[in-house]
Amino acid sequence: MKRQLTLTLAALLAAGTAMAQEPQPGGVLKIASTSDIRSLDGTRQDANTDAVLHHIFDSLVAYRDDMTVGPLLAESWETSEDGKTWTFTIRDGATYHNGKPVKAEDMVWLWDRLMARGETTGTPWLCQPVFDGSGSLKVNDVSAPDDRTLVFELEDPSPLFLERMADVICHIYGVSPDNVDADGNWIEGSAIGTGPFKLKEWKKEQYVALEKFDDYVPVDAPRSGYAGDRTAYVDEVQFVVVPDSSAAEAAALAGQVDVTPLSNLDRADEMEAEGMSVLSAPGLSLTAVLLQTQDPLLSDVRIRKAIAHAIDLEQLTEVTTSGLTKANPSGVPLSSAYYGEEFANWPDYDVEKAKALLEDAGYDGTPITIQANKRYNSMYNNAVLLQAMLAQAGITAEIEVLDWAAQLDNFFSGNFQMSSFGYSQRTDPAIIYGMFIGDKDTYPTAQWDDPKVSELYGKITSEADFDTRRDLLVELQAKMAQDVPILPLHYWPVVQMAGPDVHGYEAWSLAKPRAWGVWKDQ
Amino acid sequence: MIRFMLGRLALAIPTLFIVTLAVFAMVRAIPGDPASAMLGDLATPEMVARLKASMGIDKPLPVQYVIWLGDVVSGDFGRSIGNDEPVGPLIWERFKVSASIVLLAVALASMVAVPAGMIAAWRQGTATDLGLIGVATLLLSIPSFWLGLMILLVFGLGLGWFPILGSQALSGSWREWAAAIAMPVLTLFLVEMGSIVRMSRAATIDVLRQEYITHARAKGLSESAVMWRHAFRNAFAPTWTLIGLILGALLGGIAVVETVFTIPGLGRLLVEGIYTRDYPVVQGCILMIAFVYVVVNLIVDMAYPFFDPKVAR
Repeated sequence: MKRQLTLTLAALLAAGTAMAQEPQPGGVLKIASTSDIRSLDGTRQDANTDAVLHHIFDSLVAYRDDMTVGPLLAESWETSEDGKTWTFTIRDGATYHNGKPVKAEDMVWLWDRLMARGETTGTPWLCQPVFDGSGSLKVNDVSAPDDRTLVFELEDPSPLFLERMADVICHIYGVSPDNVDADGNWIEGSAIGTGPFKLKEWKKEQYVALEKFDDYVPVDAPRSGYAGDRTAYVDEVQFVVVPDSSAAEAAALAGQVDVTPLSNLDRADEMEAEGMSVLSAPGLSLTAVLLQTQDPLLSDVRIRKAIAHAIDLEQLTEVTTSGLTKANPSGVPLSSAYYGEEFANWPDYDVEKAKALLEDAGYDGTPITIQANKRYNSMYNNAVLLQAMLAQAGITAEIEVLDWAAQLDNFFSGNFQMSSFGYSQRTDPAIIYGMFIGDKDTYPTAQWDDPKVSELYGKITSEADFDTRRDLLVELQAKMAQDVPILPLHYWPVVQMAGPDVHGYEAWSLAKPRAWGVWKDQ
Repeated sequence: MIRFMLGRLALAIPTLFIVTLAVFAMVRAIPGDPASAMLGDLATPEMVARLKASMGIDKPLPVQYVIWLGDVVSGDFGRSIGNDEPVGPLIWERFKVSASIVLLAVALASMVAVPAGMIAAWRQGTATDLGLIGVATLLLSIPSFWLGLMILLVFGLGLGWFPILGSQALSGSWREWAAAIAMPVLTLFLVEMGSIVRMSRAATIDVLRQEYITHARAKGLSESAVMWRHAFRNAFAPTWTLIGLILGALLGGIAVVETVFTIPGLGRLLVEGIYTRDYPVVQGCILMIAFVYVVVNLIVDMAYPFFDPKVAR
């Protein structure tokens, strides 16, 4: 934690220094990206594609640094008394990169296009199930009564609706209808958006270059996360493809890239000594060990509890994250407003208790297999530490190293005993708990199959009052500590580094790079 | 000679057909699928099923194979699942990048290593021989990723002579292009030199023991004449085979070197394709690699008569 505090203080000091300086417009900011983008139209997405597209297109609303939802393309919004109607007002002066004004009816056009994509192209929108009633949210209608008013009609009130609209992957954003031809097909190489940068050049497998959109009119709110003022200072930002983390670090040290993720966390000190700014933020990607509760051995709650007692969460987290975050065995990230000590509720580290539970359950030393992969080294490292800790309690564990796609396939089919896993980023605790609560027969990806728990979870998703919702989350965590359907370990910290001539750059919980509000020494 | 070439080319057709079957079966046999890999843990089983249907990977395997083979025969390698680009041009673009590095590195390595191996053989048992063979063994033992990183640190970061991000410079002027491929070429040059030196030395020692070499020396020919006129051509034949094998192997993938130096080549395309289960890309890449092997071996075989007249007969 000391290291985390030091880094946070350093980041605050850097931010303070940056704020004290006057932004200097101009220059090119180069950001290292582990892979090329997959599309300009969002039909093929991944984290790097989303990061680039967020610079070209403004979403309707967006997450702030503190994971609350703030304005972006919509300057304000209101909800009806019954909570079923959400009305957004498009920000005044918003224009596309081709100079045309943004109209609310364009959002309706985009919504219809996305929701119908499965029928028209055979490739459904990744986020369709979020909004079509497959889950707890169903949007019945989207309309535009005038140019600046966009209305969403929901089947049932949902306190999660705004969070869903701000999601970095599943959101509605400012896309010009001029991006498509008369047949409705996306024009090759087109990316007319509303963001602070516009597409300059996409050199495949090399870089994506975006240039500053001079006519960008920011929303009247301070820059925070993806929301608020997104005024660009640099003339150009390049997302440079650097697949190897060591090469990215070397390129940063040589000044050939300005910003890069730091994947080798234990090198943070070394990088700072070289003059780089190491920036850290609490993460939102839950790192967990999945337990197959339908497995003959692990269906016994005593065995699962013994495993939980055998693991020293603090030590494991300290080792694998170089002390950049702390253990968190819950569905509530450290950066969440809901977080509190109640969410540390978990079986304590006690090897003797573990041994007693194992004896009570009649455990005979049958080996347990932990699936892991080496594409994400942290998952493998967690498995190795877990194996050693389980051995201390008398549990025999074997590590099965798979490649990531194979492990993911097993995740989808529930084909594992234990799996050292890492979930994608989620922002709201209800969404995080929702990742692993459900009926295993219908959704093998569910880890916690208990009708009573599902009922409690349902209450959380429909509860709008903060305090009541928090109480319910505390109750859910207490129940999880009793059942141990999964072993949450921690949330992987976001660590990035920026060159000495870069100012205004900050890491944030969603980990995506942000080129607006950043300037370089000229 | 022409009949020999046509015969070899005809033999390549069943080879490539077997490769299509093998690669299709192997790619489908590995666990995981492109739909799951693309959607990640955000997906629901329904979404995965719908995406599989849209990709056509929900059809029976024999049907998928026949469709793919029919397309390949007509020159259509399909489209990448990852970014929807046509696979044929994608592979060709990447192959050109890899080939430029590999051909240059192997040509340079051959030019240095073959004479070095011959000198070591000629001076067998001396300090020169020990020194050369020691360096060759050392180079042979160093993993290419480590050597690549060291070269990157010294020449890219320390001295700043070459760009660390090779991909960016590849699209610039020829000078920038040369600077971009300098470090990967140097890495491959050093790594491959070891094996060529050893082979060249062993083959030359073998030839130098032959009676006709003794006869040539007995005639009073100078050592340089013995070496270059009589020993070189015969000793080079096995080394040439090795160079052919090295070329075939490297043209098929220098993924590690491409990753370290950020070069968008064929090897990296294949590895990324495997990670994401991009079936059309993986199948296309392996087919291309097999084709390159066939062509390189054909060229090697055709060049044999220049070194060994017995083959020409």
